[in-house]
Amino acid sequence: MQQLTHEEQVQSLLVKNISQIKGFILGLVPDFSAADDVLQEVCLVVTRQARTFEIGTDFNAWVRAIARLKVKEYFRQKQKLPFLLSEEAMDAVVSAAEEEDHRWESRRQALVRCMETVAPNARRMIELRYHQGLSPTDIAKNVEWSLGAVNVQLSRVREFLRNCVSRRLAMEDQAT
Amino acid sequence: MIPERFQELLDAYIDQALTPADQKELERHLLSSPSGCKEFWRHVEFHAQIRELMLQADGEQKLPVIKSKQTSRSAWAFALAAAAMVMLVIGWWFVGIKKGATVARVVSVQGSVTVQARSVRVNDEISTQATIETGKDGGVKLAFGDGVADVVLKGESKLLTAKSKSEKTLRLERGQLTAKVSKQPKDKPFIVTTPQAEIRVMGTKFEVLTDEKITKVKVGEGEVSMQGSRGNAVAVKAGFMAVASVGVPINPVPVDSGQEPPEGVIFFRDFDTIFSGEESKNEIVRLKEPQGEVTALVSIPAESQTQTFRPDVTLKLSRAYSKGTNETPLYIIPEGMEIRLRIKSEYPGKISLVQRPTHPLFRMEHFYADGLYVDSEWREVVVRRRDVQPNMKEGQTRDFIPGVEIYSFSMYGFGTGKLFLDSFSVVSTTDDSRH
Repeated sequence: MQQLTHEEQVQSLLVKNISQIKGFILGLVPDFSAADDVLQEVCLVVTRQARTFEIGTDFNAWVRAIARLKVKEYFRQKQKLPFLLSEEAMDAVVSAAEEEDHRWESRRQALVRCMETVAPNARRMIELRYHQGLSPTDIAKNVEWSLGAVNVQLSRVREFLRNCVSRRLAMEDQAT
Repeated sequence: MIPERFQELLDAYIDQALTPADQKELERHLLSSPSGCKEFWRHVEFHAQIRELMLQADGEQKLPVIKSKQTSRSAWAFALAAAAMVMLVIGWWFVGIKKGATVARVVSVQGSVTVQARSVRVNDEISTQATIETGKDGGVKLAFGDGVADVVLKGESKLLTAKSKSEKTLRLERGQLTAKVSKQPKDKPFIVTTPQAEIRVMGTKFEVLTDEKITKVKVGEGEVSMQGSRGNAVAVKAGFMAVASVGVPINPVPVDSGQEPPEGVIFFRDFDTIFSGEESKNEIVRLKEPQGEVTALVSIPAESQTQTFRPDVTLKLSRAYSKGTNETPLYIIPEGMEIRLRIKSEYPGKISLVQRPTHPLFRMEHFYADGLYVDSEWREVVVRRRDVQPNMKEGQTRDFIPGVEIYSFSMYGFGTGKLFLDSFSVVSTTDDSRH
């Protein structure tokens, strides 16, 4: 098998870790569209600066540093959007993101299974919020429910999914 | 802070619904609790994974199998299925949810079925501007109007009813629908819309098949009027079929009488004679752009050398690397891309060419060309992509990331028999003139 070039290795790492990188950006920019914009910028920087990354070192840490700068840049440009976390709080959570999470994929797989068991009503809420990116206020208008009812429904389905994921992971732990 | 409260604040953070007091409370906790910060990421990851799963589910939606239990050779019937494609769906979205006039009644229900996110029962009335959804195991039969149509919806489908009672219109956003429609006056047809097409039915025997990219209509008797996202409506007569897709004009072609048109197979006469490269068996194509030159290797699977009948062969743009003098990023102008191929077929017919993104950053990009005429003479076919990538702003350029597979191409024919491909190239154009 032909050996990959340095740039190809970096690209391969980027594609492999793209989901975790997205998750990190979403934590700092909790708006789906805005997070996508930042992700694109981050990927461009990763590509341009691929040569500066040393293969074998912590790729995600390197990308997180880039993402942190891009988030700051993004908020400076979009002045109408206030920071949702203060700089200090943002730095605190970024520091906590350093540890590699070995159960990320297990949780993802568990979530896939749990999503299959969500009832249609709840599924619709999930679709409106996470697929279409509507805010709870917009969802309330869409389905003609009160905002409170939408928040309750979202809260319930999230709790259902969290509990379901936890149970599946616990079963996995018992089995191993 | 108790876990439930922390969870509540984090959900509000992701929903961008924190009050100033909530935000202060959340930040105080994050600044004073390292474990809270770790928990923060666990919650964020949860939301991110749901988002990703929902987007993937939409992008990976498969072609639904069209099964009609209602059709009979002597009955007027049509089958519809559609799947919406995020960012490429052209059409309208019904938001109307006000309770209006009754347009249908629930005849039977099976499994998970909701209207406006509420479960339905037999004999429930369905109003205008209603959204009907069926789960994976769900199915519902609806009777519309006074014998106008019986509609069966099933298997992860979403159907929207008309804005007013006088409109005989249904919008199938995704899934599988079978309907039996009585004869309609010409000036008041029954209309079904999908993300790719609008089909007007006056009482005609025809079949509609769709996936997330195209809608195909084949007419057995009578005539339908079909309109895509561009251009005028086209009449599709008995014995003809037509395809609608985003940005592609509808062009009816004859259908073999009594039989489905055989799908073409890519057949390479001789692997070595097709390709120009001396050291490899891959065709080298060139992508020219203003800041350098990108060479892309198109690798064609070895299976295509066999005589095995296959509906299509995927051509993958497997590698691209920069030859720019200063290694600056390369740009593909989104509006300009030209695909050239030299092709002939066993029988006269039409071919379709689909370009799909395979890189996550280009996930939503899609190009489709249909109705490209081929016959037993070698032809140079040029397909020009003119649509702006829907996930880019006008005038914005995008880096072409070297070393990563970006697109795959596939090709299939309608009634063409075998397809013979002599060359295939992809060129990005910087010329803004349109052809």
